[in-house]
Amino acid sequence: MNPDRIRTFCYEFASRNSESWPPDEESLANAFISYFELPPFVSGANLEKICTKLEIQFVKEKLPDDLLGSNFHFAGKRRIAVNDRPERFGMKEHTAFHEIRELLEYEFHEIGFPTAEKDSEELESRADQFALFVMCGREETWDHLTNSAFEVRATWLKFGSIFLIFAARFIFLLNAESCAQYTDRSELRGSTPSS
Amino acid sequence: MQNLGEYLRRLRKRKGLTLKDVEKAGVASNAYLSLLERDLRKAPRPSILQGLAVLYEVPVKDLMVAAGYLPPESGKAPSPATIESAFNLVKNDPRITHGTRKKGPKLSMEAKRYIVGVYETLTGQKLT
Repeated sequence: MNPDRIRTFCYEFASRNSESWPPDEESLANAFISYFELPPFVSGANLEKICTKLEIQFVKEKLPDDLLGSNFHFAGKRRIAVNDRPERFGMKEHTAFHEIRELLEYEFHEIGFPTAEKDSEELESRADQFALFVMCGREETWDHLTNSAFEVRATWLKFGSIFLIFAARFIFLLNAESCAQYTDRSELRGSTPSS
Repeated sequence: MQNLGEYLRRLRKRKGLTLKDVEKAGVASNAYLSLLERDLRKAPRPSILQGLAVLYEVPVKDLMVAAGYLPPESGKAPSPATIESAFNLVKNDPRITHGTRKKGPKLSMEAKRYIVGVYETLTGQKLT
């Protein structure tokens, strides 16, 4: 039987960071990206592949009007669903990673390393931040892009590229942050976190 | 079994998949699916229906009903009280953890029905 990779990741991450628990979401997102070898930038097209890698059933379906996404964990099986209706750019990705963060939280609770109170605003906020950091890619990716641009010889091309990279990063951040504004906090479950 | 073949064909077309695409997904062979869609084979095993349901993104229950494994729905939707009570059972089942990302402060009845539906599919336990 294959080990549960998500649980293993949570366990290893908690062991490494137990001294400074709870962790910040950027560190968690970076560790998550590295552990599961996620692509530098996530799009709707590779979301399904990412979930397969994470052993999460990913469903895009028409959800009730008031739902953007949902997550379930039952008997070792994980499932996330995102709304298939046309939403704003990046919304599906943001929702998917928000839901994934909730699935991670179930594991953190199970192994005795919760990062936030169950059903709390803090957890919601953490899930939003996590999604944002995963969507924006790793710091190193941006640094690598910027350094590569600096190596371009033609001055106009060099500064043009650098400007575009910074603009792209700004847009990524702004968009992912605005996706988070759509979340309202769930009332689900007294004993588990909700997204 | 009523028009299972036609139903499966419609679902496949809706997803824009060819018979070969379904074969590549490892659910069933191209030839077998072709026969199935023309109602030239009896209903497939539930495990195949499960695979097709995931691929076509429909509730497995729908395919099970179309294949004759489950009786058709009575047509009478469960009452809000039934949904509410089922939803409370879901919330209090320690075997399952779940959450939703929603737009309003409260979950709508439709959302609760959806959650109960997913729960029923995952656990195989009928609540409504």
